[in-house]
Order: sequence, then structure tokens, then C-alpha cells
Amino acid sequence: MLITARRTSRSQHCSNSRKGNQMTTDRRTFIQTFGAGAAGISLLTALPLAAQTPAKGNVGGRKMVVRADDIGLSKFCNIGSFEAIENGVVTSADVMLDSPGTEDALERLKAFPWISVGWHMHMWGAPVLDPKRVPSLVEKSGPFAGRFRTDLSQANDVVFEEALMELRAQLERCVKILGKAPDTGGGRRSTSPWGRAVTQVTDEFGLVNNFTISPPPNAVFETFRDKYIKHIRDAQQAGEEWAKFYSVGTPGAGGAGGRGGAPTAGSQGSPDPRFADRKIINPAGTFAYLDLLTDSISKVEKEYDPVLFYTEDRAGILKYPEDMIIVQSWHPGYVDYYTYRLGERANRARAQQFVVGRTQDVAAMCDTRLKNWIKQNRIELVNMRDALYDTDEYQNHLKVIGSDLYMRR
Amino acid sequence: MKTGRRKFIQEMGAGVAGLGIITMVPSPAAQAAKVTKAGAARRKMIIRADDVGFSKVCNIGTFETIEKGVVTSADIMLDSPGTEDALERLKAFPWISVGWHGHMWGAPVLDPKQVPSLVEKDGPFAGRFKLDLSQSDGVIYEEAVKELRAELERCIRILGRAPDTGGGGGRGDSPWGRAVKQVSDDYGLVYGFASRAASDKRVLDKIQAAQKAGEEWAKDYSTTPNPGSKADEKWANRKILTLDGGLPYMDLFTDHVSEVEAKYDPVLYYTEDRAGILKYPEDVIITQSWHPGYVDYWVYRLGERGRRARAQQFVVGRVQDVAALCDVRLRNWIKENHIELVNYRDALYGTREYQNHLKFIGSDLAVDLWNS
Repeated sequence: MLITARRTSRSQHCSNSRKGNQMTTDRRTFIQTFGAGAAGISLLTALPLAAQTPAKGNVGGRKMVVRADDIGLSKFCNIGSFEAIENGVVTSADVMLDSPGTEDALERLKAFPWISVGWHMHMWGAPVLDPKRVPSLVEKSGPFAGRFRTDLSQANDVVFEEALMELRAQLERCVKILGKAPDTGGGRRSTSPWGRAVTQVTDEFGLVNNFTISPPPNAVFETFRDKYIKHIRDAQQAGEEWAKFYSVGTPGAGGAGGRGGAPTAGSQGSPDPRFADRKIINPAGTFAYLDLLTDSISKVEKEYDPVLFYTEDRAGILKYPEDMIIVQSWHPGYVDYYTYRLGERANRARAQQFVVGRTQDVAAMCDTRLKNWIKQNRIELVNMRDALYDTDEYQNHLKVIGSDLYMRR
Repeated sequence: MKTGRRKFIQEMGAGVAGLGIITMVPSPAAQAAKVTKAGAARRKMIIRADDVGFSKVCNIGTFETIEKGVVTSADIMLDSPGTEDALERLKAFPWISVGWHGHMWGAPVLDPKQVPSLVEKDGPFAGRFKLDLSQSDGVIYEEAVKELRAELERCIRILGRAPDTGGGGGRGDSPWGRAVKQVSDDYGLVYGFASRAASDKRVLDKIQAAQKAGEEWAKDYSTTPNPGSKADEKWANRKILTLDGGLPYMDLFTDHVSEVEAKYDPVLYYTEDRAGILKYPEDVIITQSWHPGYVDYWVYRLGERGRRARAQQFVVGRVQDVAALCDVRLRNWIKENHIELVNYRDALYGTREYQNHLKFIGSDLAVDLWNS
């Protein structure tokens, strides 16, 4: 039923664009011209590629997961996220199961079975259940009445049974629409009622989490980390509001301060021994967003570009042993009012730095310079299931569509 | 399952509306006083959405305000990636007047090879309009005329008619300026109908201070006071007035992300009457434009290429404009102050297109509803 509906809407889309094309030669030319312009730049920077001999097998390559976070933030934001999924190098999607764009995102994801799905547990939205059934989880009054409390995960007056009921409802809606629960997510969280409920549903649904290991020493990364820490300390000393939300007391890979601290997949306690030999690492974590951490509009435009994170190898990704699987996440999406101001309500001074950056992420994930870097360095793009279970889903997809990013020759 | 999400959205909506009602509901006595006065006088106002057609994605936000907000007029760019989409959409809104927004941030409708003097020769933006298009002596007049005609003809082909307003004179006697005037006259576009108020001192002061502080964006603004200008004789009795162009956007004039979020809100421009709209004689028709739209990468960085330090201040503000123009607080202000929303055709020709639409859909913004 749902598949039929999807087909219908797709074919409508096609006929629309056909209709558009008849009428729109001029516009097409414009877009083509523009595209050619953009490709032009990239080709110039990537010329050495042509001189290289094609890779025979992926010798010397390394695996990389490119994750898109905050999927489902809003229906409109999803337009950008799915542009990055469809035309970009995103291999994994971390979905929020409580947001205005959740159902839209889950419906869309069905068309991308080669993308692994994670559970992104910000709880910025509202319960799937009627708020009256889960009163201990929601704001009682004010403009955000009925939405999740901002202290949900720490509060002791959250009723465990309500938390459990709601979390189950979120996962069940996901199973109902997407056909399966997220591949990853949940985890052993704090001992608060919410934390215990998360732990319980994680077991009930068999979600995998806490699979990244600590990365080995890496001088390039350490320089990058020190720069990040200094940046935040300087801002804290200068009294910048946003910097108050960061803690840089305990430097350490991936988890030192940063937005939400540790990667969402959860890294409580020691890593799950089942996946230790997979050597999945998330070295840069939130450090990758360094150039967004400023109150200056002009600085963000000048400096923030995920493409450069990779092509300049700022975090030293290429310096890790080649059998390590590198995970890095971004926030591709377009910006409507919900994305701008209504989604993340707490810590606004920090949240407001993750707005236009989302559109930059869409462009970056689709950028020819990044794609060329992936080819030149023989990076094998994999999704999170590939990383965990050594499957070839993402590469198989690339092969079938004839993508030049296919690395398993 | 769906109920959950629907409810969420409804509640969100109710939450936002709730806020508006709390801040806006006047005491019953005050309300009664206003109602008594209502029949006496009301003031006409145009709310214009600019940069329409910027990108297809941006249009989604723009048309949210056209459909659910108080926008009465749409100024469209005829050379942008979202132009055709915007023109197609506008067909469904015949009560919205259409203006020609002549930024030329996009690319020619014609093959760039046919109009080489108008476009960048090389670089990442090869084939797009030159930044100095409107001043450059290197622009060939005939190419400019040919391109501008092509833009208007595509508009007529899709929308069914040319824009009501736009183009016109006052663009200097550069080849481009002369071509714009020529083509506007060829297609009978109306221009020069609005008087312009003198510069607002608050804006000049803010820019001056920023220039002194060496802020990059401020260099793109002039601090020479503009004495204002009069409408063409032909339209003078319509009393259409454009206020200082900087005042409404003053809170966007900053390099600080946090300041924009803390201060910029078009609702307050009206409800706090920052521009003194309610102090003008009641037969003056005030026109004010905003930039409602959502933000994709084109809107963020690729559209306006010149003067980036200034352009980058018009990014998230577009999203705020979408919310503001649909905001209950603004709607309530319009009702309380007996504002009669009109489009440009109404303002120019005394028609009642926009109000007829409001009445037909049963909107509480239709002025007849409270006068009867």
C-alpha cells in the first residue's frame, strides 16, 4: 500500500519535471551552466586524479562512514538531508523519532535501503503518545507545553513506566513505517528513570550501540584537538555565551566537551566487545564543527566547510591505521523556522550555531571536491551495518548505479 | 500513529498562537473603543514579499506566507533558479499583485552565448550575470533589451501576464538602465508610483557606528542622508509611500548570530510601530517589503554574489520573515488598527482584489467583517 503510494508520487514527480522541461529549456540551461561551473572548479583541483592508475582492488584504501544527523528535524529540513543522501556521500542516517519531520523521513528512507539508520536521541520534539498519557515527560505549561522537558534525561521525577511506554511507541512507529527498528542507537545510559528506560528498550529491540573504540594516538589529530580546546577556552575567557555550554575539562577522543559530548551511538562504559575487532572509530566527533563555534556570521561563511575537513585532513583521518573504520557525522538539511528556532530549545546560544551550517553540509556532502578526495584516497564508503557486520551494502549500491565512487574493483 | 504527529503539530501551532493571544489581547474596554472608531477610518497597507523565485526550495517558505500570511504582493526575480516554479505557483494566487524584482542575481534566460556582454566570461560563475551589469559601459544595449524581453516573455508565457509593476527609470543612463526603461515601457509596466520617505536617523547612526568600528558589512552602506523623493505626478494622488528601506532590517545589520536571534522580528516592526506607520495620515498607503523564504545552499551563498558581507545578513532573517508574516500577533495588530490589506493593483487603481479574496475565504482580516 505504502509502496504504491510512493510510486504514484514518484511518477507524478517525474511527469512534473517532464512538463517542466518542455517549458523550461532556458532554466535547464541555466542550471546546467551553473553545474558545469561548479564541476569546473572541482576538476581543476582534482586534475592529478587523471594521472593516477585505476585502483586494482582497494589496496591501501580505508573504510569510512559518513553519517547525517538530526534527520527528521522538520519535513522541510529533510529536503536538504535527502539531497545529501541521494546525491551526496552520506552512508548512514541518524533519525530523531520524535520530531515533526520523523514520519516523512522514515517514509523517504524506505527508498534508500543501502543507508543504515541510527536512532538520534535528542528528544527535541514531542512524545508520539498523547502528552496526557506521559505527563511526567513533557512541559506542563508555557509556549512549549506538551513538548519534551529539556531535563528529560536527568530528571528524577520522570516516571519510568511513562518513559518506557513512550520510547516503545517511538520505536514501534519506526518499525511500522520503515519496516524495521533503527540499526543502531539506545545504549546503557544514566541511572535516571529516562536512562533506565532507554536501556530497557535497547535490549527489547536489540539495538546495537557503543561499538566505537578509542582511536590510537595520532599527532595530527592531537594538534586539531588542542586547537579545538584552545578555541573554546579562549571563548570562555572572553565571556562568550555559547562557550558556557561546553566543557573542555577532560580532553579525550570524541568525547571531550562538544555538542552533546560523546557520539550519539552511546559510549557509556567500555565498548561492546562483540565489535571491538571491527575497529570503528569516531575520532573527531564534535571537534569537526570547530568553525561553527563562533557568534560571527561572516566567520562561519568564510571558514566552515566540511569539504576542507576531509581534503585538508584536518583531523588526521588518513593518519590512522588503514584497517580502522572512520565515522564522522554532519547535519545536512535546509532551514525553516522550526529548524532555525523551535527545534532545539535549550542552550540557544549554542544551538543557533547549527543553522546555516546545515545548508553548507548539504552542499559539502554533494561536492565534487569531496568526491574526488574519496576517489584519490581510495576511501571505501560504507554504512554502519557494513562497518559492524562486514557487509558490502553501500558499495554494492554504488556498483549497481555505476558510481565512480565504487571502490571494490 | 499519525494522530501523534498531527497532534504535535496542532499543539505546536496552538502554543505559538497562545503566545500571540496572551501578548495581544487588549482589555475589553479598549476593544470596544476601537470598534466604535472602526467605521470611521481605516488605513491601507501593502505587505510585499521580495526575492520571490530565489530558489525552488526558498519558494516553499515564500509561498507559505503568501498562502497563510499577510503578504499581498510578490516581487519576483525573473532570472533565478526558482523563477519558473514561482510563476507557476503564482497562478494559483490571482489576488496577489506581482512586481519585477530586478536584482539579476541569476543567469540570463537566453543562451549566454547570445548575450556575452551581460555575463561573467570565466571563473566559477561563468555564464551568470556580471556583478556590474547595471553600471557597466561594456554592456551592449541590444543584448540587454533582448534578454529583458526574454525574461518578461517567459513570465507572460507561464503566469499569463507580465508583472504589474517594476522596471522603470531612475536606473541611470547606462546601457542596462536604458534597456530596463525601454522594456518596461514596451510592456506597459507601472513604475515611479511611490514616494520615498527620507532616511531614518536611527539607521544612519547604526551604520555610521559600524563603519567607525570597521565592520565589513557597513562599508556597503552609505551614510549620506537621502532626502526622499516624490511619486510621478500621474500617481501622486494615490499617496503610496515607501519608508526608509533600512529601518525594517536594522536588527539584521550585525555580524552577530546571537543578536539576530535576540532582536530581529518583523512582527515588532509593526506592533511597536517602529516606523511610525500609524502616525501618517490615514489616506497614505504604506508599503513595506520583507524577504520570506526558506534557506538552501543557493540562498545561503550562491545567489547574491556581490557584497557578501552585507548579503550574508539576509539568510536566517528570511526564515524569521516567514514566521512573522504568519504570526497571530501581527494579524491581531492589523485587526486592532483597522488596517486594510491591499495589493499594488488595489493601491494604484482603487480595486478591491485583496479584500474580496479575504472576504470570500471568510478571513477575519477582511475589513468589511467588522464594519458590518
